[in-house]
Amino acid sequence: MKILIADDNNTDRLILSRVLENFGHQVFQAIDGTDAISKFEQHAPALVLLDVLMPGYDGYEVAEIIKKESSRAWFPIIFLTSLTEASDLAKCIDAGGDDFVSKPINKIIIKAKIDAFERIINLYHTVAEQREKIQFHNEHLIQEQEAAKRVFNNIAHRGCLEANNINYHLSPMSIFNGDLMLAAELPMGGMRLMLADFTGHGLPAAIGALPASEIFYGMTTKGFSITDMMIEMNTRLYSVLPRGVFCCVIVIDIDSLDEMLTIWNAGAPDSYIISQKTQTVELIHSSHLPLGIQSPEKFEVKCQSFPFTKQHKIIAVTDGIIEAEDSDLKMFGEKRMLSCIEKNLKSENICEALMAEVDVFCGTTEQSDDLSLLEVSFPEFVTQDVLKSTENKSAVSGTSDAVISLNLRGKSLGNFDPIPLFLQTLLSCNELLPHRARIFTVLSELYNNALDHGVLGLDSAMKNDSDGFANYYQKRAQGLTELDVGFVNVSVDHHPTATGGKLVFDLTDSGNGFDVERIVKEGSKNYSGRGLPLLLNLCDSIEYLDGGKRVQATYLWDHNDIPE
Amino acid sequence: MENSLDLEILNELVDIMGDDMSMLLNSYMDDSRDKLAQLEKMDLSSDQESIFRMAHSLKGSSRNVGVVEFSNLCEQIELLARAGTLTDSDFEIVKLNQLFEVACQLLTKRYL
Amino acid sequence: MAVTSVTSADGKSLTISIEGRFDFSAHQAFRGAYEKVSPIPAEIAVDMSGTTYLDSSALGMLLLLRDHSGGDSSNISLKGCNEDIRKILTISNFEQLFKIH
Repeated sequence: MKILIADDNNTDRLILSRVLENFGHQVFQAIDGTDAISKFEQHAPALVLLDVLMPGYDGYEVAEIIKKESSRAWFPIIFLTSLTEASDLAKCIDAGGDDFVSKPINKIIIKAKIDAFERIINLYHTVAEQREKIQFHNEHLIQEQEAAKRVFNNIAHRGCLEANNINYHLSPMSIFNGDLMLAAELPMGGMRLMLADFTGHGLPAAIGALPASEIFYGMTTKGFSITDMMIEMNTRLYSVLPRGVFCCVIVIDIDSLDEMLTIWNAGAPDSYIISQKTQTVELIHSSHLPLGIQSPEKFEVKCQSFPFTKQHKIIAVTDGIIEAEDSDLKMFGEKRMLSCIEKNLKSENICEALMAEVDVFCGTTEQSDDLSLLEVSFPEFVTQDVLKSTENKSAVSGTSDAVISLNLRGKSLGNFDPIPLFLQTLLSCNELLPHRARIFTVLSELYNNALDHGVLGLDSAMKNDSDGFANYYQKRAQGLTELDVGFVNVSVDHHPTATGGKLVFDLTDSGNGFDVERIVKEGSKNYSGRGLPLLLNLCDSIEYLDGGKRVQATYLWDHNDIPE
Repeated sequence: MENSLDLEILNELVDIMGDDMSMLLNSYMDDSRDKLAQLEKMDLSSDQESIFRMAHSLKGSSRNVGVVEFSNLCEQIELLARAGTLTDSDFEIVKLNQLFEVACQLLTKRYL
Repeated sequence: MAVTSVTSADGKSLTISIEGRFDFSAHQAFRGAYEKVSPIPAEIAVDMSGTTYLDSSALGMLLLLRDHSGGDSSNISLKGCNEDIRKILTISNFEQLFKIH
């Protein structure tokens, strides 16, 4: 060890230096205070022995000066003193000394003290080294996470959260958000949203979000129902997530044509449907185990449907907000959430108002979970396609000349939704991409009419009030489960024309038909939720045959006429 | 000799200093001679503090090299000067010098 | 947080009791309470009469216990749940997987 000895008494200093050199240390000598300070800076000793009584700067002053230079790592100072009063000895420690040794110096004692300090210095260096290593690795980790986060954002957040009808709040606890908030436009008009809470937070929680968001965007743009999407998501998460990790989720479909909201809550706190007209709030409780727990064979999805118009709003939260704590460790709670919502029913931006209340409640208490809140109003009806085709207009591809048909019977009508399949197959023809929303709307409308009103015999007049709404969908679900016989035959014929192409949708159902003339004359809304006018608007022609059991709708498209 | 020097201390010092024993002793004798000269010049009425320090220093280094009799006298003077009560009769410069010279001669004979 | 467990004399039932907060810090202790018990008891009870708090990592631990004890063929009861804990279990629909008292 490098040791500095400062003593103005030559004899004392020479002897002590030799003693320490004999012990194997490298010794530097200073003859007074000033010399001590300069030798200290020059040689950076690991330990300093200071005589108290020196001319010029005395030992105490030197100690203060060299200890102040804290850019150096820690080093011990031992005072050499012949003073024996306890108060004098205490003064050594007060002045920044770490120990004292009485003169005349006892060889054995000084060796013991120096050895002890050497152990402490080694310990200090080990700790400092480890701390540097940890700091380095930590910085490295953070960099890696930041990079991963960019990839994650590109994958997970390519939806339409910034749309006008959405207000939201996301404040993750760490770099990665364990809560996932996704939004995408539905091909037939409207929006699908998902708020998911993976157990835990940070990177392990966020990883589950990758397959979940891929499935969400993939299946939503293809027009799959919530049910189909959740079955797929649960299957994937069940196989991918470790046991004990799961995902609480709320999925919402807002159909802007039908003015209807469909919702499924699995393991999340209540969601709230607000009616600004009646100033009421309806609570949607969790009705299912979170995703990733139930095996695919046992997994079932039962959604709830509600009327949803321009005066409605829906609010969804994850448990982070409900469980947010104040300084007394009290939770925000569902009661307080509900009363906050009721207080702010008329607000333009209820999300902002609620987050302000949460802020006030929590004060400076640190949050221990991701905070997420989603507020959605009625979306503008959009038939325009999210994807604008940039393909070469003259290139002809995919199913530009084909007939696709499918006959679904009995129980299959309840178990399988053919729309996504048809859509995907038709859209393999690139030219149809700009028309996707319209084609989707026409096909869904025709199919739903055939199934609901034809095979199941449901009367859509039931949907006119909110009780009837729930009733209608309940009857529908019941009807599908009980269905034994019955069928819907769907056929789509696509062939090219001189200027583009012609799609003929031909559907036949096993129902009783209806009085076509009467309905057309009445221009009635009662036949379908939206009415014939919409279909007539979108299609070039519609014809009902077989007493209403069969319908043929024609859609012409032109290379040069891309829908706005 | 028995009174002037502590041979036990000196023997240990030889172990410590090895070949540099004579260098050390020369250094001691030169330093101490200087300090004694300074001490002689000090004024009892105004300089008790300085006398205390000088005597203290001489005492310490002398004890380290086994020059005990001289060292003991230094201590006496040191304590009185520290209390501020040193008188002319206590301030035995002559005796100090005598004891010192005796010690030096003995050291020189033995080690140099 | 303290986890204790008692196995019946005939080895057919195991009761695991949790005092205090049932959260991530209980992970090792909870696992230790059932992993070494062999053969796996036919009945397992988790006594939460002394449990003050339950979070999602605790739910995960219960799922692990269920998985270890035969999954769908397991027989696990959650006893002594207070109102708050019951609420959490209800929201998560855990009554589909465990008997809750």
